[in-house]
This record gives sequence, C-alpha cells and structure tokens, in this order.
Amino acid sequence: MSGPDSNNTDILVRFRNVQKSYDGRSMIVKNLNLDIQHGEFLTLLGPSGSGKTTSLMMLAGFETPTSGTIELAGRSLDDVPAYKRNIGMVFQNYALFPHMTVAENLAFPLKVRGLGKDEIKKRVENGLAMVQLNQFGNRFPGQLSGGQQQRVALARALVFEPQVVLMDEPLGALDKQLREHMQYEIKRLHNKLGITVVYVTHDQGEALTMSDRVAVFNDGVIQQIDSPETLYERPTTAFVANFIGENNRTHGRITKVENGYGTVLLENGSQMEGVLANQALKTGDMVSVSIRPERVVIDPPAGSAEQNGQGEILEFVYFGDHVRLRLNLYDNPNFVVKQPIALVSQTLKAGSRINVGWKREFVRILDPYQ
Amino acid sequence: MSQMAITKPVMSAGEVATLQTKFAKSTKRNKVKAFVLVLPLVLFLLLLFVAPILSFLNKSIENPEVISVLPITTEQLRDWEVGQPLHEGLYKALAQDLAKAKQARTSGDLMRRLNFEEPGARSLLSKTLRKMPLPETVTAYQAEFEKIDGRWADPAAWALLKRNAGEYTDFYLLTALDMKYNERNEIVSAGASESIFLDIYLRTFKMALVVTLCTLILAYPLAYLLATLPAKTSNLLMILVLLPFWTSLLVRTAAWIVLLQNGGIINGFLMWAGFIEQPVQLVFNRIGVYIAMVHIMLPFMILPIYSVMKGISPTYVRAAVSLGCHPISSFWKVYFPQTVAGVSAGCLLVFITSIGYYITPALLGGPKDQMISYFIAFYTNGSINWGLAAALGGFLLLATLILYAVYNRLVGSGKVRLA
Repeated sequence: MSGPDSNNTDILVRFRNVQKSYDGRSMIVKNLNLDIQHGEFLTLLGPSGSGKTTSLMMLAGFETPTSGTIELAGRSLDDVPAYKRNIGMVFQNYALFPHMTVAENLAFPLKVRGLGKDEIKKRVENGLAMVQLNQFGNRFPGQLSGGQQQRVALARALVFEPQVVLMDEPLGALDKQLREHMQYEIKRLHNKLGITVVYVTHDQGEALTMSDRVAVFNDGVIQQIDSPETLYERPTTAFVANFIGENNRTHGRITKVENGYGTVLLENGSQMEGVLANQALKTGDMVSVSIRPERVVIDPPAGSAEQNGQGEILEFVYFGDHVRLRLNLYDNPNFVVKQPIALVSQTLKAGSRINVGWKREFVRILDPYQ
Repeated sequence: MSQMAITKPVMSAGEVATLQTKFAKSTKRNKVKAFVLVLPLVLFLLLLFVAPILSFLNKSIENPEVISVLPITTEQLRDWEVGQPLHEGLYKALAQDLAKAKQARTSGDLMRRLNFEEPGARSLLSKTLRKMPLPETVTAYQAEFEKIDGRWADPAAWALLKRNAGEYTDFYLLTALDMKYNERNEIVSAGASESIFLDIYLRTFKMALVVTLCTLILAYPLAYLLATLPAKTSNLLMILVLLPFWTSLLVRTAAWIVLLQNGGIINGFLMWAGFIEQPVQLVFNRIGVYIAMVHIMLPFMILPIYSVMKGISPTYVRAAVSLGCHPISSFWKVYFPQTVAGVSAGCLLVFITSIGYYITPALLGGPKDQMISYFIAFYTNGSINWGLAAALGGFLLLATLILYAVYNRLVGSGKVRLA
C-alpha cells in the first residue's frame, strides 16, 4: 500500500478521515483517507454500494461528509458549495442540456463565469476540436449518437479548465466496442492536457487499462490502492484478488513461514507454497491461496516449475486466441487454466489427465475471504 | 451516420414493382383493420358530436323565417333596393303573405325573429295581422297599410324585411360582436347601450387568464414536489390531488358556497382568530369564482407538468451546478426550459376549459362575474334565440381553435428540439 504522504506538495485532493452515513446507523464510507496527486488518473473501483460513487459525490459537493474533511489544493472544501468548487464532472447519462445546442452546452460554464463573447467562442471551438466534433456545434444533443454525446460531455467538463475532472461511470451506457474506443480517447485527452482525473467504475478492465492508480473499494473501505500492474499481480487481500481478474482459490492453514514465502496445507492434504501477501500472516493462520489461470503451465518442461499437480480436464472451451480448461485439481473442480493457443497440444480434450505446474512466486497467500 | 447504409441492395425495376405491390397490399390490410377497429367510435362521434355541433353552428347563419312565411314578398323584395321608392307591389305581396300566415298560424316565428333585430317589429306585425286579410275591395294597398300603422311608410321597416329575404344572415354573428346594420344597410358598431358581448368575451378571457396564472403558480411547485419525492409519498400526495378530480363538479361548487359564505367555515375561522371583525364577502363575487375555479382546474395543470417533470433526470441540475452555476439559476436555466412543454400544455388545458365555464360562475358569482357560457345558455334556454346562442358559441369555438393552433406551433416545434 502506498500510504498517504502528508509532506508531498504535489497532492491536489486530500480526503481526511471522511465518513458518510445516509441513515445514521450504517456507514457507506468508513474512515476514508485518500490523496490524489496532480495530473494523475485515479480510478475508484468497486462493486455497487461500496462507497466509491458516494466518495466522488462528496468531492463534487453533492453530498456532505458526515465527518472528516476534504481538501482541494490545500483548501478545505467544507464550506465551499458545489458550484464554487471548479470541479468538472462527467455523468453516466451525459446530462447534456437537451434544449441547448452542443455549442451552447459548451458555452454554459463559460457564460456562468462571465467570460467575454469572443473568448467563449474561441474556447468552445477549441473544446469541440479537442473531441473532433467541430462540425456538430449547431446540433442538439438528441441528434447525436451515444459516443458523440459522451465526447460533448467530456468537452463540456474540460472547457472551463477545472482543477479536477470527475467521471462517474461515463462509459456505462455505451456498447462494448464504443466503450473501448472511448477509453483510449479519454486516456489520450488525459495525457495531452495533463489534467487530474478521478474516475469511478465497476468495470475492472476499464480501471486497469486507463488508470495510473486504482483504489479498490469494498464495504466503504479502500482495500488496496496501487498501480494496475501491482494490483493485478500482487493483490494484498483476497477481495482484490477475486474482484480483479480471474483466480483459482483454495483454502488451507499455514504450516511454515520463511523469507516472505509460506507453505499451506490444503484441505485435501496437499501442500502449496506461495508469497505471503500480508507480513502479519503466521504459522497456523487459516488462509486462502490464489493463483491466476494464465500463470499455470500445461506440461511444464522439467525443472521449470517449482510446483506440480495432476488433474482431469472437466471442460475444454476454445476462445480463438486461447483455450480455457477447467480441471479437477486438489479436489477443486473449478481450477481454471488459460493457455495461449500456440502452447496447447491438439490432443487435449475433456476427460484427459494432464500435468500442470507453476512458479511459487505467482501464488499469493491471502486472508481467508469467503 | 450509420455505416450500414454503404451497401445498397441492387434490385431490378420489376423486382421493385413487385415489392411495392406486396408492400401496398400488406399495409392496406393493416389500414383496413385499424379503420374497422375505430369505426364504432368514428360513427359515434360523427352522429352524436360532430353532426349536432355543425347543425347548431349552422343556426348562427340560418334565416328561414322570412322566406318561408313571406314567400311572395321575398320575391318582390328581390327587385327592390334600399333607397328606391316603395311601390304598390310590395304592399300587395305582404298583404297576401300575411293573410296566408294568419290562416296557417305561422306568424309567430316571423314576429319573434324580426323582433330580435328590431324591437317593435312584433307589435307592428301583430297589429297588421289583426287586420288581415284585407277586404277584397281594397285597391290601394300602400295607403291601407299606412292606415294600419304609419311605420309601414318608413323604408326602415322594408329594409329590415329586405335584409332578411335570404336564406342566410350575418345578423347573429354581428350581434355577437356588438355590431349591427344602420338604416342605410351599413355595418356599424352597436353603440354603448346595446354593446355587451365584447365586454363579456373580454371578461371571459380575463377571468380564464387569472385562473390559469393562479393554477400555474400553485401547481408548478407541487408538481416538482410530486416528481422528486420517493414514489411512496408522491403516490399518496397524487391521490390527494386526484380526489377532488373524482368528485362531481356540482358538488364541489356547492361545497365552496358552504365554505365561503358569510357564516361559513373560512369567515368563521378568520373572525375567531381575530383577523377580521366583519365577515368578508367571499362568495357571489369574483373572489368566490376564482377560488372555486382554481381549485377545480388545479389537477389539469398539475398532471401535464408532473408527467413532463417525471421524465427529467435530476442530474441535469447537478451538471449545471458542477459547471459553476448557482443552484437556483441552474433550475431556471436548465430544469425550467425542459418543463415548458408541460407548462404550456397545462396552461392551454386550463385556459380552454376555463373560457367555457358555466356552472361555477353561475352559482358562485354575481351578475358581473358571468362568463360567455352563461349567455349562451341564456339564449338557448331562456330567450330561445338559438341563432345568437350559436353565434356566441361559434366564436368561443373559434377562439379555442386559434389557441390550439398557436399552442401547436409553439410547443410542436419545441418538441422537435427536445426529441
């Protein structure tokens, strides 16, 4: 975990012990401490009800923290109403004003700020050019496609040069292909303009491909905040391992701890070695053991794998670029192996028994999350 | 632009023709089916709604009395123009017609009709009729008529007959607009003492406008509340809104009399609370009419506004706020414009219904608070002047249609923008 560094002057937004309760009985956000750096693309990822959107809304000023403080550029936002925060926001359903043209939509935040006519015109043109919609200024939002509306919403949130841009599941309403295209577009704008983006999504793929850092929320608590690679390769909790990507999970008890590695006695009597994700884990603890399906090798060359197992293929699914096997391994009938098609022997089929192996550095020993 | 439109299906002219016939056949079947389904309703509306209205409107220009009772005179009048000297033929024809009318007892309609236009025509005609038929010995008809009543020497009496010697008349329409013909057959304003209808139209529109504005002021915040509250609470409130809607109009109007009268609950409360010492006149005047009409029309304003507001996402205002606009200004600039369609639908509905109000002003208003419908009813039931009733109703209908057309232009084009 990269803990909050209070001496870092590059920090733009700071959540300090922020709590939020809607009913006075349960907390939707429990003691949130989060630092957002200048120019970074931070994603808040988590299942619905995990507190990520509430945190975003508190930053935007549409919700008030029950306790704690949020600072923007070193200034407390406690008494700053939403309309004075100078924070851009992109909504899931775009929220483009249907009775105004695209150009009028873009001009709206500039007019409110009392900018001159020529300045507004120039900025609107630049904003439209930024999202490649120069020709569409006189159209109404209803006459644009979903992707175009999304780009207008982006341009509108950026045109007044806010300190932070918040995006609340902005691609949720788009189809898969368009969503991927827009991911690159948003990323491109982020790189080009150097803006600070706080992005909320429940789509882990989106979070991994776009973000500098991802904060994984569950139950109102940040489970882990790290770069996408660290998050995927070295999850620190079973929730994160489970929520991001696929993993094969079995349960057991630690029998030995040595040099950051641990040995786990599984429920069926086999042993597995892996990296202790949490230094507090000690001999005798109940844990879950996790390995990603793509880190498992079929028929590993002798000596390349540190651990081996043998299992029967229960299911064989062809995906074009890879295959997916479901094995019965260590009495776990849901042990999944993913192999690039080039490495798969054509004789494999459901029912055959195969050898699999892996390196112990890819095995994570985590808390016994159910 | 859709990328799918790139490949166009290539068809020969023959194939296109067959496709067109097939398409026409299949759509025709659907059209016939749809028509058969609505046929009973169409017949019902035509027979019991459209046809009676048209035939009643026709009454405002129909003029059968003179030509049916005085056919020979009508014939003679065709060659006579106002300003030309009166001649023997006219008097002789009138004597023949009146003699026949007396025998057939058909003179009543004629007298009533001419009396609408010229007070005194009834006495002149009945006086003349008593002398009919003239003795066979009479040769100088004109002198004989002038002997019966000097008014027959006045060309004005003949101008009156001449004006009405046709199948159609503009008399009722002109009267409804406070206009009339003078002795020289020119259309002039009826003069202050005879003018009432323009003032009443004006009063009707003014009262409808006041009612519309009051309902709008009351309905808009309530509709907003209904649209933004959680479903459970808003359903309960909605029932409260609709409850009066389901009660008879007459009952509600009568209930307002009870509430508003001098010894009624409202005056009683105000006196008990010490706000007033004497009861305030709240009923049988304009205030009473406004209170009751606003109450009755409120649901007609709330429902269209509510249904439009229901479809507006609260994120629009949030978006405006996030863009730096004050919440109140955001509401006005972003939320309100999207409700304009509902507001104009509600205003139109309330205004059009209000200009046709009859029962409520009749029961709760004084003589100076009656609207045009009261006079339509009066001329229909009271003085049996259906022509004038039809003319007054026709102008009311015209005003309604014009309003509707204006609304369609304003909101119809707005809808395209909002789509």
